[in-house]
Amino acid sequence: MPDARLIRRYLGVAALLALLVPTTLFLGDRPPPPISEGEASAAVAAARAEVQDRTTALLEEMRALAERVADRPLVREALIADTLDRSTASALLGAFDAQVLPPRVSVELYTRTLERRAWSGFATALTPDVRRVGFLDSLRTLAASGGVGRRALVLWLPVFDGDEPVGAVRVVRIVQEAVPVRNRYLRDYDVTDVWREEVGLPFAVAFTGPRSGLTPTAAPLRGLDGTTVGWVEVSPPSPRATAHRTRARTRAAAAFWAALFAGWVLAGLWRLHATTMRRARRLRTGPAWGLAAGSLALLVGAWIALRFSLLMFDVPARWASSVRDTAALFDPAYLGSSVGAGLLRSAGDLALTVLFAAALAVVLLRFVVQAATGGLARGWPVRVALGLVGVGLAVLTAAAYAVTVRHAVLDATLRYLDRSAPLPNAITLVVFVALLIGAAAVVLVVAAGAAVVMGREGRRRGAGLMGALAGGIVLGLAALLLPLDGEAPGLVFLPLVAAAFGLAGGALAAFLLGGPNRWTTPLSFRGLLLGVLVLAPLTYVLMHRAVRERSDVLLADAADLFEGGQDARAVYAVEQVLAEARDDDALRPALLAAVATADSARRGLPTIPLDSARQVVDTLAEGLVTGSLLASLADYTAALVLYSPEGDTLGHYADRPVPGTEASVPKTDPLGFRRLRDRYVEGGQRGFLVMRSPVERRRGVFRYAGLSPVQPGDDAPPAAWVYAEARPRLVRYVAETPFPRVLVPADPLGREAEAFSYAEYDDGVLVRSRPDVTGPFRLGAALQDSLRQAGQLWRNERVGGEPVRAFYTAVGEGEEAKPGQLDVVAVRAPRPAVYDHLFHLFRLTLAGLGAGLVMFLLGLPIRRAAGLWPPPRQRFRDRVLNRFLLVGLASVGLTGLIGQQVIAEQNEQAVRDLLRQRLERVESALIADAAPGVSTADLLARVRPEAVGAALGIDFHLYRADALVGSSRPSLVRQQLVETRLPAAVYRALVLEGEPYAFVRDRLGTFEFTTGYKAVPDAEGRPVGAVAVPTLPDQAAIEASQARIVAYLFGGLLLLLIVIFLITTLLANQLTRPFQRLRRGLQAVGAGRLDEPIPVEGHDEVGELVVTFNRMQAQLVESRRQLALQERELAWREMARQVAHEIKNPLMPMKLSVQHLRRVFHLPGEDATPEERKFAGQFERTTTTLVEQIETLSRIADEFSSFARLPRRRVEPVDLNEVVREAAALFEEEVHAEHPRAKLHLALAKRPLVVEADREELRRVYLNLLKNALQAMPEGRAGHVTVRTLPENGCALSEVVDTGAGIPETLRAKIFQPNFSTKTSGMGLGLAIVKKAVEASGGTITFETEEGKGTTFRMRFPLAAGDGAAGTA
Amino acid sequence: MGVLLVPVVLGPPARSQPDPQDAAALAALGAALEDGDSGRLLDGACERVELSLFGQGARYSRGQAALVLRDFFRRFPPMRVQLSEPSVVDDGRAAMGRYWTDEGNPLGIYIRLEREGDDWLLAVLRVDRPALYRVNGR
Repeated sequence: MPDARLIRRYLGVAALLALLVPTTLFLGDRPPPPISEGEASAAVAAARAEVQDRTTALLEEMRALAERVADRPLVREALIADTLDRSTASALLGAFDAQVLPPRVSVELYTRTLERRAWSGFATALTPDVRRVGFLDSLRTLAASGGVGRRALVLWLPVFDGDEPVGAVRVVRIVQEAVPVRNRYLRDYDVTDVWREEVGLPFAVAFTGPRSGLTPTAAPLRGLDGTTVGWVEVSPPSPRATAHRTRARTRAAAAFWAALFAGWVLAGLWRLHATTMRRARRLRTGPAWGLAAGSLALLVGAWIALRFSLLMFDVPARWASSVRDTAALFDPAYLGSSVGAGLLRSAGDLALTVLFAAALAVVLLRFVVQAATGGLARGWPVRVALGLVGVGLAVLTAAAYAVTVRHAVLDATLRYLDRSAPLPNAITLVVFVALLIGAAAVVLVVAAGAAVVMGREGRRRGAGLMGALAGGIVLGLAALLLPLDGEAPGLVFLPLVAAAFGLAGGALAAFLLGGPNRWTTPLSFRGLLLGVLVLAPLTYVLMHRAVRERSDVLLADAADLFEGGQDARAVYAVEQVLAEARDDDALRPALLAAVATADSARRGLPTIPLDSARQVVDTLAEGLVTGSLLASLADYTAALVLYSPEGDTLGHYADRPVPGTEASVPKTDPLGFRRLRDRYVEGGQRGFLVMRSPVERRRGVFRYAGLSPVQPGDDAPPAAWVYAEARPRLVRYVAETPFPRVLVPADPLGREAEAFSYAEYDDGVLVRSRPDVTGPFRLGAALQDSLRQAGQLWRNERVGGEPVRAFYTAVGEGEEAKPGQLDVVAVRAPRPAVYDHLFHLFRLTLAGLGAGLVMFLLGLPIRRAAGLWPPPRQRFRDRVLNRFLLVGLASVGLTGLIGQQVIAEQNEQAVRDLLRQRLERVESALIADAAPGVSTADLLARVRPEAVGAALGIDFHLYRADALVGSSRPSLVRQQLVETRLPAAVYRALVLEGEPYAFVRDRLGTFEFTTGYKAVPDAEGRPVGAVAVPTLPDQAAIEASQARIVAYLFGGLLLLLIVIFLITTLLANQLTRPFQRLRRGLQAVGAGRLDEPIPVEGHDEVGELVVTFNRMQAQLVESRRQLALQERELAWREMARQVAHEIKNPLMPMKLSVQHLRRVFHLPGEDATPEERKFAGQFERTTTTLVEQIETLSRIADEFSSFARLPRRRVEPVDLNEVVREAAALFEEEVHAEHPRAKLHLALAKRPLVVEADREELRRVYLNLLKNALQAMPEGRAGHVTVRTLPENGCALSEVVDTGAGIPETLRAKIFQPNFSTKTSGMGLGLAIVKKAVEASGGTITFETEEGKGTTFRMRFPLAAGDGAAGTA
Repeated sequence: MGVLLVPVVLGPPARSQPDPQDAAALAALGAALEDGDSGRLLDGACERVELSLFGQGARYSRGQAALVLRDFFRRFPPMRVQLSEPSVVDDGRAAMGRYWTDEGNPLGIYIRLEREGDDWLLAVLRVDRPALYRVNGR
């Protein structure tokens, strides 16, 4: 336990930190001192200086860029030359095009006569200043209007040839830009936004010449040459703002102290817990473990308190929000759930929460496993109670996780099921990883619960599996009962998911309980991979269910908005037409003239014909509408009417009606105009007024009308009115060019709603839909009946073979509704197909693998500390598996990268083919539209692109030389959404290098698309211009198509990954099984078990290895047997020597003594008494017996002696036949004479059989065998013993054959053993000696025997090298 | 905000007359905005509120909207709020205004109320940054 001094220090620091929090807050809440005028002026001056410095730095960057360009020799040469040849011009443009420019920057090269020689980037008109004499002689900086809603800084850097200026480099940087519509692609830009933090005071900057929009206190901003490039207005510091800033700063400081305090407390509690755990493991007593559990409870409580404290102090959101890259992480606009008291209030907070939960789960599991394996004995009541607590905790955690996943989806605006890219964006990635970590935390807690249930018995596999199963079942039942979803709990997947969590947790518990040092295995490569592959599907299943729920909510919201008639596209399109009319230079005078004409006509004054004036206005109105985005709305018809203040129609344009589909659109709407005008005037409005009104006799269908005054001067009363209307079409037409997605205002329902399609049915008949017909034209009767009863319903449908989710709602009874009439609004959204699910699962898995990689790297130090890295022992199977998996992962990764590249290339190629076709169609249409004999240059100038574009349904732009001269969408040009100058790369390719086509990637904001260009040649084939067709309207469809293919690819890759994992596991097992068997075989050999041969499964190298191993094992067995035999022989010899020595020594004196007794004993004479004769007889018999027994003993001792004797062997060439004859003679002499029961026959080879042997030893072999044969002869029956020799295969074969009793089956294995004998006398050493002698001579001895018939001993001796028979077959 | 994008109904004038309650509701919302009090702002809000901050919008539940607004108020603490007179929007009311922070240029705000029973509930809140460089408010 830590000592008291340490505890005192710890508590002291904690108290200090705890005091700092309220003290800081107290100091920060005090009202700041009043700011004096002097201080305010100084602060304003400092802020102005800061803005000036920033502006200067911006201009310096531009100058540096200009100088880099001007320093190029090619640039100077291009300016000196009067004209540029094609190759020089091409090289110059190539160099400019290759220049990597910062965003919103363009560079141009001008001669002194302002001829543009090269350019890169967007076009900006030249300001009049540049034509002043001497303007280009020195560095110039100025501000300029880069077009409508755009401000730019311009820098001119002269280029000198010696001292003479020959031209200048112009660098333009857009500093402020207002986009025509704000959405996820287009955002306003202001360079000063990033300056606000440093400037410190509220300020506004206008980069412009005049001080427009600012108060007279605004100060000028100077350029590098001292000219005014803008104005800055700084607000003096207000007491409220100052107080707020001070409070914000002190709260940030207090938050820091609070976080530090909480961390300090937690560190102390962790130390306490670690100490109590060590003590419990050491003492292994209940109270010690109870203390450890108490410290754990404290730690858990503090841990949870820390999390909520961080939430309370907005940590780290408070700090992250000030950093641009991390601000979105804690922005609840992306994810913000009120569930859990803020635990899920942002993506970052969700991540922090699950990290806290995962850490808690680890601590809990560690405690449980250590308690289970640490000798804590528990009775069954305690175990049951703990088990219930463990299972309950696991169920609660799983339920909390399910709720977390649900709200992380429902309360987010993130597109989790985005198909546009395999990698999710940063915030989605964080959420994915957080949810996977949450799933891991659930598994850990379930494992802790399972470990409690299993206890020490969890070491057994069976218990582990049973625990896992039980956990799965319990969680499954719990999932059935928990209302985790808005709908009825799933009967299939939720229990399955819960059971899977239970199984995973149970298996983990069984694994951890199964042995020591297993804590770091889950952090290994395969552990993490397996974890991701298990957790990702579980998480996805839960996510997908929530996504569907969110989709249903969005569908209902969308239906609500659609029913309400709100269509942001239509509103914007009407507004845009009004803006076009306002900016049209020709319209105002024409209208004023028409008003005057109408006025004169009304008064009866002479004037030009009224029809003539109206015709002019009609033409202008048609031009405005046909070139507008309003004309692109395929589900609306457009009309534009110009009214005089009195309500006279000055001119109009309306879309042509489509015969047979609807009544024509009313050309004018005086009543609507008057209502709108009255509201405008009464409301004292300025600018536009756009309103919505229901369509007559069409319930739930709205039209949009807008009004804009035409004023002669700023404050003059309206001289005329522009009235625009978008009226919904009631049936579908062939669509014209689609409305570019980049120009659609942000959908209030988010990006997912962009894919929605809407339809309205009146009495089951389709009356309107947008954007396309994606459902049936009529609703079925059954569906209508269901809607009459339920009011609304969701259905899974297939439209055109594609799965969709559809929402139907019966809309309320309108004023014009008839009784019983049913109006239905339907909203349909794409529903993921199988491959989409795989793709989304792949994204989730990819996120998990990324997180797994990070965890693997972070886990290395932990594993190193535990002594497990580098691994002390690694199984061969694991190494093989790891390498297979690495190869598999690399293959999947490479396939994905290359596949995506191929798809992108194919897609780009398809886009180019499409653009080529369109370009050719446009060119053909232009030629057809031109009068005969019109030159190409005139054609480009005179053609009416709006009309041609409308007829073809293709957007295009026309360029003459490098300048834009016409567009089918003039509104886009005016909004600077179309580049007014050919890109340098295109000009170079088409004009300078004569290519027929060129394609470039363009972007509007963050919206990327492709534009194709086709050269327009003159009669001589020289390119004089170009036609451009962008994919702007089709880009959404192109991206969707590509995304579908990418989804297929990556969905397939996920399957591949899983298959690879399974196959590699099987392969690794299969490949390494023989090695595992070999290992087990070797272990068995090591353990002395030599009777376990390994089965041979194959005929490959591994099979041969197994065969070799088995052979070696057999040899080892034989060697061990031989060794044992030798050891026994040696032992016997030693014993025999001792016995011989010990027995023979007393035998001789005994025999001599007995013989001496017999000699000295006088036989009784005739006169001996019967007793004496009887004694003498007895004496004679006894001493005879004694001598015989002493001789027997002596023979035995001799036998022992000869067995034990290790005479020096004298090996020499010996004729086997001679030895046999000598042995036979001795046998006849010594033995056979005494026991003539058998007759000896010799059948010897006719020639000598010379072997290398010890003659004496060999002779003893035969003597022993012959004695053995003789002794085998049964009593009372004569037998034969035959000794045979003959040469055979380079050997001398010799047999000793008897016709004795044979050797019984049970004794055959033992006959060569030294201590074996069937005789009552002797020590059974004869055959052992024989075998030893034969083998000493290099021969072998075997025998054949048959009980009752006899035995044959067969010996083979190698013939000596000099023997003639040696080496012959 | 020179653009007047007020979708109003061209219906009978009788339907579009403002009543005192909507003005009171708007005044209360203006006060809540000025105090940076997301809870009070959403006390009288529809179940799902459309929030659009600087061009990025979505329909949020009230709980979510409270978090989003809380974060907005933290990043853009209100100094002063000024709302225009309510306009008629179909069966609802709308108002535009300005929202001063400690950054300088005021932000533009747009509020729309919808009627539910006798109450006017916040349905839409849009905040945008009007730039000096926008021509005619565009």
